[in-house]
Amino acid sequence: MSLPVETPGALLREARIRHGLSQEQLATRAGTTQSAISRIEKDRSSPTVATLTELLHLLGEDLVLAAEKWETGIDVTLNEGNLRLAPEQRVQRGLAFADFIRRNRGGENPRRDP
Amino acid sequence: MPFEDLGDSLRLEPLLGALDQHGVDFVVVGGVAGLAHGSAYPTYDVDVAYARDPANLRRLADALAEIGVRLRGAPDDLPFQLDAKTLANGANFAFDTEFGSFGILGDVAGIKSYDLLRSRSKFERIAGMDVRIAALNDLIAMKRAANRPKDRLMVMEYVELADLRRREEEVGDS
Repeated sequence: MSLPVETPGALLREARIRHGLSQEQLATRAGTTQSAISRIEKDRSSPTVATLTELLHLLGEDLVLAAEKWETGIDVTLNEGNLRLAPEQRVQRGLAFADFIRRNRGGENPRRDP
Repeated sequence: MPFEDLGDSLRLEPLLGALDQHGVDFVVVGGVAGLAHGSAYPTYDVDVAYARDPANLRRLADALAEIGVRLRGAPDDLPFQLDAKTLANGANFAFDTEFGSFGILGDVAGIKSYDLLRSRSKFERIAGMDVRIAALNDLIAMKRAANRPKDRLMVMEYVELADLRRREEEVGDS
């Protein structure tokens, strides 16, 4: 089982090498040029899902797409608290937090006096 | 005494109130709209998108004059005639006011048209008045278009927030 890869180019390159093919040989199978394969593998061109599927089929592999939870690292605890408030209270709390930050960053005043 | 200086607070009532009282067609966007949706990111200014028809530009110019806006970053001696023609010739303006930083957007990056933005917005009561707040999906599109590091963080938060709200609505429906 191969590890997940980050780009279509890396995916294709990993599969091609695993199957012992050169770029030229894969290009021959696909009816394209070695340079076209090279561009994809170097992520200089972005293949469509259909193209990538076809190239992988020519290597005896299938493309598996999956959608998974995006691990953003955002802690939604504060948001959950905000959602228990009315929109007006949410805005008041946010602006109060902004004031707190203003007052606690060394007295810097970002606004000019009128 | 910075800990006692509350003068820098963003005061929404006089800013949005002036627009409201002059009958300006506008939608609150940016960080304040995000807060209304439940975002936890602080914001230091208020931005509104506005309709570009001549009558609305006249109403907006009157409201801005009443607020007493100054172009942000402009020298004090720079001539600036604030009227409907100036607004028509420009689109997006950033102002300093005695009530905080205030931005008006006639051209909202990431949004196809003001009419679409407006149609998807919803009235919410903030700062003691009912104002149109941009939809969370439109805020995501705007942040995605702006694409600065802080915008990308906010896209992530807004996406999480939208998901959170959907889940809470599902629980509420069941």
